[in-house]
Formats: sequence, structure tokens, C-alpha cells
Amino acid sequence: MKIFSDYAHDKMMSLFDEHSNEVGSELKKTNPIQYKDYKSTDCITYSLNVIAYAFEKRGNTEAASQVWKLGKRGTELARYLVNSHGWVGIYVNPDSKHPIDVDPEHTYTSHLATKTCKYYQIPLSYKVHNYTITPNAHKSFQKLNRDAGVSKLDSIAISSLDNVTFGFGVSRGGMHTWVFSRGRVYEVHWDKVGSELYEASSLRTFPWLSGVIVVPSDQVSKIEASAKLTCTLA
Amino acid sequence: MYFSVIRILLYLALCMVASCSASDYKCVTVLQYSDFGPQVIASEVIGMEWWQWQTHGASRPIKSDVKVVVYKGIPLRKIEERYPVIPQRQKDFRYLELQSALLFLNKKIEENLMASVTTTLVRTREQISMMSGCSILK
Repeated sequence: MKIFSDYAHDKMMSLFDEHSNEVGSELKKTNPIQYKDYKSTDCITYSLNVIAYAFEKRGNTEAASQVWKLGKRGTELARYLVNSHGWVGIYVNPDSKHPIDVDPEHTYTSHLATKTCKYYQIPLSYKVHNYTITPNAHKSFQKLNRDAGVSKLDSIAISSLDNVTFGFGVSRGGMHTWVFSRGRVYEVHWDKVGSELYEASSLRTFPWLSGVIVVPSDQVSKIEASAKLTCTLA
Repeated sequence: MYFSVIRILLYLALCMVASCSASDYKCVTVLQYSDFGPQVIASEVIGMEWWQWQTHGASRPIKSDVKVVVYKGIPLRKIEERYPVIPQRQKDFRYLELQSALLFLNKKIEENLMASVTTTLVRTREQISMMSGCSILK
């Protein structure tokens, strides 16, 4: 019998590969007549389609319906998956000290992840960071943290995520959501259609930088143990 | 004589308008979202950094131009009238009473989790502290 992550992976790939009847929700709003026969989608709708499908295939229709109810906010959905279904939160950040966009959001959430084991109230169990280091020649280096040297590369923890079959991702407190598989981010752009509607890219170079990936319990054994956070969850 | 009286009356009227504007200015300050630190803390008092009429942001990491109106002694209703939220024109204001702003800033400055953020918050506190002596508008 297939596990939850297998069903989720099947669905995310089938939507990624075939979406000729879909259009980004914002594009449909601005061109309602042109796209009247298309189904509206966006970043969170993609994730909801995938997660609800997997719950249904596993026979948990109540959870599938709850997923759609919580779907307005990515953070609420992630909290629900962790608190009610035993999913596990992994904080991700390519370079905690020197984010290439010089936004303090990334360094601050990194501090909070270590100190509180939380990301926007989503419980965290792991922290995978410093996998794409900002070099000292980069214009963003030491713009936020003047006294910090070049971050130490950790390529082991990020490599373990290459084995994770499925995860749900949240960036900037729910500003953007996405799904994840084997080191890659799969996302929908709400202002696009056709070949530009869906995009897959490496987590290592994902431009949103910090965020959280919550993974089903069937994936936990694949995560590098040294990435485990040591703070006690409140 | 008649023209002198008119001139004095006009002068007095102008002074009244000027003093009202000065009070207005002192009792309201419009700041940037980022003046309250990164979203992970600022959201505690002014909501998330994406447009408030949307349930989430765009799929590219673009910042929305969200402004924060810090006010003192003026009914919120009047502030909302003066700084209305207009989605069609991408006008997004968050309203924060001075005392709440100071409470938030003092707490985060004391926590001092990140030096560069603390510097920003101290600067914001200095800026809005100047409102403490403002007159209350009717």
C-alpha cells in the first residue's frame, strides 16, 4: 500500500506535468472572459489540491476537508499538519547570517528557530541552513551582520532533503507557499498561464530564502540527525 | 481702517489653519512597514507585509509598499478617513496607536535579538517619541 507521501508526490507531479485547463488566479481576475473556461489556481491551491488528495487516498476525508478549510493561510495549514497529524517542521535558510537580499527577516527567523523551535508559531524539529553560502566578495556580505565571518557550509543536512519524497513549504510567514520533493521546490505563479504557470527549482537557489518545510511522519527518518533542534518545544 | 481689520482677520484665520496643521503633523506620523523590523516581529502589531486585501502575497519575493500610521489622541475613525485603504490604488495603511507602538518597540529593543534590527527600532522609537507632546485634535 502506498504511503501518504507517495500519493502526494503523484498528485503534485500530475498537476505539474498537465495543467492546460488551469490559469493563475490573478491573471483570471484581470481577464475573466479570456479565461472563463479555465480553472483558477495559485500557490496555495496547488498545495491544497495535493495534500487533500493524499489524505483522501489514505481514507481520511475529514482531514482532506479540514485542509481545504484552513487553506487560506499557509501557516495555519502547516500548524494543523504538525499538531494534528504528526508532521515535522524543518526550518530552512541558505545563509542565516548573510542573506543575499539583505532582509533581516531571514537572520531574525533563524535566531527564533534556534531559540524557540518555532517559525510563525509552526513547531520546528529540524534546522537545515547554511547550504548556499554568500561569499565574502558578494555585495550583500556583512550588510546585515558586520561582524560575522563567512558562514560555514553545511552540505550534509541539505543533501538529506534530496531523499525526502514530499513536503509542504511556507515562505515569509505564508506570503508564498509551495510543495517540495527531493531537493526541489514546485510552485505556481498566480499571474501566469501555460508553461510559466508551474515552476520547479532547486531549494538551494530558491529566491525566497528562509522558510519552513513540513513533512509527513513517513519522511522523518530521511532527515539528517545532526540538523535536529535541541530546544524544548513549548 | 476697514482694510486693516480685514487684513488682521485674514492673518488670524491663516494662523488658526497653520496651528491646526502643525497639531495634525505632530499627532500623526506615517512610517514604512520595515521601520518596525522584519515581518516576523512587526506582524505582532501591524499584520503581515503583503496587501491586506489578499490572503497571501505574490509568488515572487516582491515587497508591497505598506505604510504604518502611528497616531495619538485622534479617534481611529478619523485616521482611517484620512488614510484610507484603497486596493485599486494599492494604498495599504496599518494604524497603530502611539502607546501600543512604544510598548512593542520597547519590548523588542530590550530583547535585542539582532543588533541591526535593534538599531532600526531605536531610530523608529526616537521618531515617534516626538509625538508625545502633540495637541489633541477635535
